Amino acid sequence: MIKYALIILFILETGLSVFSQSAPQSEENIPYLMTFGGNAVTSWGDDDFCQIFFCFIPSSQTDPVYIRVYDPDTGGAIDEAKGEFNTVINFSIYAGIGCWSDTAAQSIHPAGNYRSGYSLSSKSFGVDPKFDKYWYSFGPFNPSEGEYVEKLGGRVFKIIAQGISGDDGNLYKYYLSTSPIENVAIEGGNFFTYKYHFRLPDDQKQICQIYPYVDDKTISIEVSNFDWDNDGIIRVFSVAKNGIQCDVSGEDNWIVRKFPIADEEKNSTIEIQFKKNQTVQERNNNVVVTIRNQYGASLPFYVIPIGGIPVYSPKIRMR
Amino acid sequence: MKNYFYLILLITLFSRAELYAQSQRFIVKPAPFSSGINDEFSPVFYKGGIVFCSNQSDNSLVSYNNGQKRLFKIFYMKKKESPGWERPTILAKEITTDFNDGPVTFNENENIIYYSRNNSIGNSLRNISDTSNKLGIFSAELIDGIWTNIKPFTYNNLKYSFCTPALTPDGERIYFSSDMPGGSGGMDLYYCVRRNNNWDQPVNLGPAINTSKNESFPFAGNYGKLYFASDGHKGFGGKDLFYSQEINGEWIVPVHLDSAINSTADDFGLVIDSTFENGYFSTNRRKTDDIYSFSSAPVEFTNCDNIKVNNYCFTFYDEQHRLIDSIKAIYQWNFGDGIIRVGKEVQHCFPGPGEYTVKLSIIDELTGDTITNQVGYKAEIENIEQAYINSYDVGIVNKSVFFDGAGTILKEFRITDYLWNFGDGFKQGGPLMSYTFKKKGEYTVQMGLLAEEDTMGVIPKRCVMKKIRIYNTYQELAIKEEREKYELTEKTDSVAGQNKTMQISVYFMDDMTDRQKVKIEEALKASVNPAVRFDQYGIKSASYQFIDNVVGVIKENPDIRLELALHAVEDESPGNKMLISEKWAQELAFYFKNKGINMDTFSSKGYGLSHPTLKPIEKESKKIDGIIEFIFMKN
Repeated sequence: MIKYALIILFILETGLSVFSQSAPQSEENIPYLMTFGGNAVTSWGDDDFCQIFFCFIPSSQTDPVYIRVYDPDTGGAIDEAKGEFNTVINFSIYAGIGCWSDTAAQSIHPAGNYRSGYSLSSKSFGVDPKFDKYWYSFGPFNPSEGEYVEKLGGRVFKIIAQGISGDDGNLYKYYLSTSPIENVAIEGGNFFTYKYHFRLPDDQKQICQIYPYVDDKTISIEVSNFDWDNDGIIRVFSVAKNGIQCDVSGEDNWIVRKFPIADEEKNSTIEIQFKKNQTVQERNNNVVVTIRNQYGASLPFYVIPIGGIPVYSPKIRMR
Repeated sequence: MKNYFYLILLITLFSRAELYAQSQRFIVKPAPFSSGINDEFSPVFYKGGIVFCSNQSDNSLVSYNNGQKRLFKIFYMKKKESPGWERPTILAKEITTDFNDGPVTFNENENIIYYSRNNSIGNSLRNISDTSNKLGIFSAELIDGIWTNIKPFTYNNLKYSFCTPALTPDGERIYFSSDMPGGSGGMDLYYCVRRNNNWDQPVNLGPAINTSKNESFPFAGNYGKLYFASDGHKGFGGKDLFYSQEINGEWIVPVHLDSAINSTADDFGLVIDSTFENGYFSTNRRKTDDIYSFSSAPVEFTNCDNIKVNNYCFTFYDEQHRLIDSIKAIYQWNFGDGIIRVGKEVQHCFPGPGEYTVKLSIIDELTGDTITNQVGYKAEIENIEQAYINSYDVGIVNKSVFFDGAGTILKEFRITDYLWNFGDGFKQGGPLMSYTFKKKGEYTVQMGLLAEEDTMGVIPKRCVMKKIRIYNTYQELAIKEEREKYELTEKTDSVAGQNKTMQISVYFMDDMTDRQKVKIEEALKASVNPAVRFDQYGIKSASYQFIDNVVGVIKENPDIRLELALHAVEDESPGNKMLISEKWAQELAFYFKNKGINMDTFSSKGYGLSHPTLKPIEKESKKIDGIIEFIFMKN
C-alpha cells in the first residue's frame, strides 16, 4: 500500500509542471513513435508492426479527455516511405476492466487477447494530406471508463497502433489532452508502454533516453533492443548505475543483456540512454526496446519518469 | 567507659588515616613546619631551604591585622644539617610591608625575586580590609645581601589584582594570575615573555587553562610543565592542583594531580623538584592553610607495548562502480584541501586525524555531462587508541632528543602521570620531555602512564616503548660541492597555490659503510632534476625521477634505512605548521609504500615546528619555507 502511495505521489509530483503529456516526451528527445505497415519488412526497424501504449489519467480528473495523434496518416514529409506510400495504420482506443490488467495487453508480443477491454474508438489512416502534420483527436472519453488501477491511483486507457497493410513507416506522436482542438495537459497524466518502438534523431549529437520503472520484486533486468544497426551505444543509468553499456543489436536482430538490480534501484526509474555513432551517420534509424525482469515480465516505460530522472548516487568507500 | 575508650581509639585511627593519606603513587604528609594554627602556604625552594607565606607572628613591632588574623609575610626557613628545620624568619625586612606580602618566585641564581603584595603600603592606610587595595607584583635584586631596586611589575594596575608570580627555570617567562578585564572570569593565568630585559604584553593562557572561575598559584617546572590551582576545572572540590604543558603553541588538557595530593578542600601553591619526585603543596584540609610534603613512590611498568603506526593514507573508490567495469566516466575527487585527484580509485593522505569531507563528481567521458555532482563523503580519521610517543627515531650523542606523549589516545583512561624511562628507571615527567643520551647505541625509551585510582583502589597503568638509535655525529653528504645541487627545491603549496621553496638536507649516519654511501651518492647524482615538488594532485611527476632513484637504492639495498623528517619554518601560521609538513610526509610515505618499499626500512614524519632540525634553518635565507631531511642509516 505504501508502495502504491509512493508511486502515486511520484506521478503527481513529477507530472505537474515539468512535463506535458505527450508521447514521446521532449525530455526523451525522441522525435516520433513508429509503426510500420503490416506488409513491411522487420529490417526497417519494426519487429511486429504494432505499438501498444497506455494512457494514465489520475482519479482527480473527472472531465472528459482526448487522446490526440499527431500526423496519424502515412505520407508526407514526416513518415518513412518505401517506394510509394501504400500503408494503412489503425489506431484503436480501449477502456474497461482488462484493458491494462490482461496479461496479453502487457506482453511484448501482440498476440492473444492484447486488444483486451472494450473498444471506445477506432480509426485507420492511409495517405491523407488532411492529417499530414495535423492532430487527430479521439474522444471525448469519460475518464471513469478507463480501467481503475489501484497502484497507479487512477484509470488507464489503451491505444494500439497497428499496421494493417503496406510497407511504409508511420511516424507519429500522442498527446493526452482535455481539449479536442489543442493540447491541454491533464494534471498528473502519463503515458507508458511495455515495448517502445521509436525513431531516433538523425543528428548524431542528439542523445535519447527512455525511462523504465523497476518495482520492488525485480532483482535483475534484461534489456533487449532490436535493429539498432550498431548505431553507437546504449547505456543504463540509475541511482546505482552510471552508464553501463548494453549489448547493441545490428540489422534486423534482437540482442539482450542482463543486469543485476541493486536494492536502492528498486521502486525507482532507470534510464536507458541512446548515443548515436559519432563517426558514421545513420539516418532514419528505428529501434524497438523492451525490458523484462527475472520472471520474464515486461517492465513499463513511462514517458514521464516516475520519481524524476535518476541521478547516479555513488557508494563511496575508503580502505 | 570501656566503650568510650574504643570509640575514641577508632576516631583517632581514622583521623590519622585521613591526615596521613597515602596512595600508591605519592606519600603525602604535613610538613613539620606547618603549625596547624597559623596559615602557611605557597612554598618555593630557596638557598637550601623553603620560602613561604604565613600569617604567623614575626615579632615585628607593627603588625596590622584584619580583625581576625594577622597579615601574610614572607618567611624563610633553612634546613638544618642534621634532620629538621631551623626556626622560620622573615625573609627580608626590605621587602616586608605592613600589609600582605607574597607569594614569591626566584630566578635560577636566586638573586632576583618577584613577589606579590598590596599595591598601597602607606602607614596611614589603616583600613586594611578595604578590598580596593589590590595586589600587585614587585621585583627586587639581591645585591650584597640586601634586596634592592624594588620595582613594580610593568603591568600592575591599581584597579585589578596581579599576584602569585612564577618564573620559568630559564627566567624567560613569568606566569601570574590576574582578574584584569579580557579574561575568562575570576582570576586567570597569564604569562609575559622577557624581551630585551623587559616583559612583553601579558598573554592569557586561553580556554584550555582558564575557566570562568579562578586559576592561580602557578608553578613553572622543567620541560614547560605548568602546575596551577583551579576551582573551575573538574576536581574533588575547592581548589585542586593540575598541570598542563604547552605543545606546539597549545596547552594540553589540564591533568588533575593524584588523589593523595588533591582533596575536597583547597589544594594549591605547589612546588616540585627538578626530578618531579619530591615537593610541597598547600592545603586547608586541616582548616588552616598548611604546607604538606609529598614524595613519589617508585612505579614499575611491565609488558610495554610497541607503538602502532597511525595510518592517514587511504584509497577511495565507488563500490558500485567496482562491480561493473565497462563505464566510461571520469571520477574527480575533491579532498577539500585544494587537492583534486582523478581516477576510479585514488589514494589520498590526510594530514592527521579529523573529520574530512571528500566530494566526488562523476563526468560522462562520452558526453562531458556531469553524471553526479559533488557527492559528499565524510571521512573520519582516528588515531589508534594507544599510548603514543612522537619523536625522532634517531638522535646524536649529547644532543637533546624530544619526546612527545601528548598524542596518546586512551579513552576511559584519565591520565594523571607521565613517567619516562630512558634506561635508568621510570621517573616522573610530563607529556613533553627531552633527554640527552651520552653514548652511541640503541635505546628503548618507555613511557608509563598512570590514571586516577579506580573504585577498587587500583591505579590503572599503561606503558609503551620506542627504540631510539643514537649516533656520534651526523655526517653530511660526502661530496660538498655536489650537495649544493640538492639544497633547494621548489614546492607548490597545494592549499594556497603559491610557490614555496623547501630546503633538502641529506645526512649519512656514521655507521654506514663506504659501499652504502657510494650507492646513495650515485643514485642522487643520477637525478637530472634533484627536487621534490608538489602540486594540488600530490607529488608532481617532475619529482618522480629523483624520488624513484631514492626508492631504487633503498629497494636494492635492504641494509640501508631512510628516515624522512619534514619541518615547517617559523613564519607559517600555527595551524598550518603541522598540517602541511605532515601532509607532505604522508604523501611521500604513501609514494614509497606504493613503490614497494618495505616500511621497516623507511619512515616519513612531519614535525611542524615541534622538533628542531638537525642543522639550523638558515634564517637569512628568506626563500626557505621548510626543510626535508633525508637521513640515511644502516638498517
